[in-house]
Amino acid sequence: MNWRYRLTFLILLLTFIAITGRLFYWQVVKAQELYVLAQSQYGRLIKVMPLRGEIKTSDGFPIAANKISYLVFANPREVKDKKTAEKIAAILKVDIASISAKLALDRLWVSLKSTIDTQTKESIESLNLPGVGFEEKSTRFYPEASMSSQMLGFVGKNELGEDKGYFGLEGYYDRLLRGRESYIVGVQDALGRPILSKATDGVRKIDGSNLILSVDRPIQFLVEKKLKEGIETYGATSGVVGVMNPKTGEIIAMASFPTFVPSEYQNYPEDLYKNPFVSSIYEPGSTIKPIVMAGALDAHIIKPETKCPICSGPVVIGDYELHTWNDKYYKDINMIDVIIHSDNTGMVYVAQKLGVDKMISYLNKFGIGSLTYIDSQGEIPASLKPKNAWYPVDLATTGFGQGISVTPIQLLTAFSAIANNGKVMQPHFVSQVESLDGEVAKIPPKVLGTPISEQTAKVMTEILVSAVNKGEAQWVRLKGYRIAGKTGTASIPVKGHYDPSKTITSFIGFAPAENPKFVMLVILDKPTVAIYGAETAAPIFFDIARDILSYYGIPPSE
Amino acid sequence: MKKSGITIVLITSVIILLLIVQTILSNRLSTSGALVSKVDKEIKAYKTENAEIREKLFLQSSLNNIASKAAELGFTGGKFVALTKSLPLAARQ
Repeated sequence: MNWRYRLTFLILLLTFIAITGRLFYWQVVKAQELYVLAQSQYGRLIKVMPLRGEIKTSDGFPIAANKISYLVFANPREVKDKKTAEKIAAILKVDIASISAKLALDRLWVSLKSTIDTQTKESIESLNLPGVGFEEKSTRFYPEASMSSQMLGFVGKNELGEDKGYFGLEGYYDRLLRGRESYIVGVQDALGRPILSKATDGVRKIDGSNLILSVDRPIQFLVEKKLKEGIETYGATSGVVGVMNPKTGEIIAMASFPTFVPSEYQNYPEDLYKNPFVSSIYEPGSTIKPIVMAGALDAHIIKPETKCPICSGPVVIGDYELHTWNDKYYKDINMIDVIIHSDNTGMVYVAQKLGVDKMISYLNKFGIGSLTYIDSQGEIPASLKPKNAWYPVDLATTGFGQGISVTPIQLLTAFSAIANNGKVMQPHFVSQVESLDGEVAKIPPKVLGTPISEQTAKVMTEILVSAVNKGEAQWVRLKGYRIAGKTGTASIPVKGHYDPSKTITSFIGFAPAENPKFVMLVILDKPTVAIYGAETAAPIFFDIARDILSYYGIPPSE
Repeated sequence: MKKSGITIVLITSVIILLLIVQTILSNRLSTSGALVSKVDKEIKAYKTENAEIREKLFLQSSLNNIASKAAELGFTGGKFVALTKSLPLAARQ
């Protein structure tokens, strides 16, 4: 009997160990795998999207905010009234057939229209239609409509149908603005019907951060208005204006025209989405002369009183004959007058004295040919030619801004060095980032380089003040104010030659010259009323400058 | 037997009392759930209302709107006036 008792005990023990082992395998070893499998059977993963951060101007006004909108949906199985489609279509202003087709589907849920406003929602709601419901959503809203649209970019949908920022600030700061989504497991019964219970995975939703720009809203409004008027007045095809604080690199205003409405971006051609101030290249013409001249002054190759020995007539280089813009020539002209008269032959002399190596070196130091790293999506570098591709005529024409391409932001940033004691600052739109809990992180100004000395910057400033007071644009200058600036008229290269009738006109300058508060670049593309910068871009520049000086409360100094 | 009878009555009384307490508490909890739901709905309604008012406020205070209203009312751009360093006649006398 004893051995039978022991055998029974052993069998029971082994069975117990086997069951315990099996339970350990399922509940510990395979636990995670089974948990996921079970979740897929009884639950549905729901993504909870965070609220997108706002973009505010320096006065705290949101130029890109969020508003409540609704998605109207229906359960076709519950819709019995045949007139439902007709009633909804009339309010939504859509084709009845499209609504009828959706309601005819054998589904539990169909979307009828997204992003409808509160009034439309209330109109549908008042009809008390069975089987029709609404889902609250948050959509981008632009209180100033198309203001700063190419600077802002827009919010579209990615391949998963989620909100995503494209172009401009929305694209560049998308991750920061978007925040972090969370997931909820919606529990459902064996038939797949949702039940009133939920289990979260513990990942908390984090709403996006707000961006506070250095952009001054009244100046931005003013710049856009004046640019639009200027384009109409001078019959140009397009135009851009950028205003920057030369001491910090903060963008005060940036406008371009034609533009688009971000909330209706689908209705505009794609080429309007890019900000031309950072994404387009052009030949700068005479506006590059102060950069080249400042380089030559800084290298001590020339002095302001240096006389030009080759300026009595056109300059011949190889097969090319280089002329001044008005075919007027001044024998033994000094460097100050070269800038005042925007003398191309004088700049050929300066470029030749500088040589290819130093020309490339100074252009690089000013940031010409490389990215400015402005916080905007789509900046292009407008690279310089490699050294071995520079022919003597290239060196000569670069001196007066032909055969070289820049982006407007490159030129504005480079020119700012003259206004900022020789220091190039990194341009940026965002001055502060505000998190959801109100914590503000300031973005400090960053020096990109010091291409010229403080002394050279001061000398160049005085030359540029003379250019405004005595140059071609003196007819529009603001009397009493010391403003440093330079006109620019660049011919447009077409199929290997320059079109004499089509130009890109520009004016770049800063004010007040003794303590600059802003540096501004105005560019008009193919103006038809006049083809010179002094007659088109300069009036717009001084018109805007007058209002900015008044807005800042800066009195005349002379 | 007498002692065990008292014990049975006592236990039964405690059970009945606990059932009554549970019923009362459950009753209270069930109504507070409805109250929480009502408060939740109210909070959501206020949030929606706030967002809508905020939207209206931004639209009304936008420079585009102010400029168009100003134009409607006949306001025009002011003339640029800047005093130079030379003192005005009144100040010189």
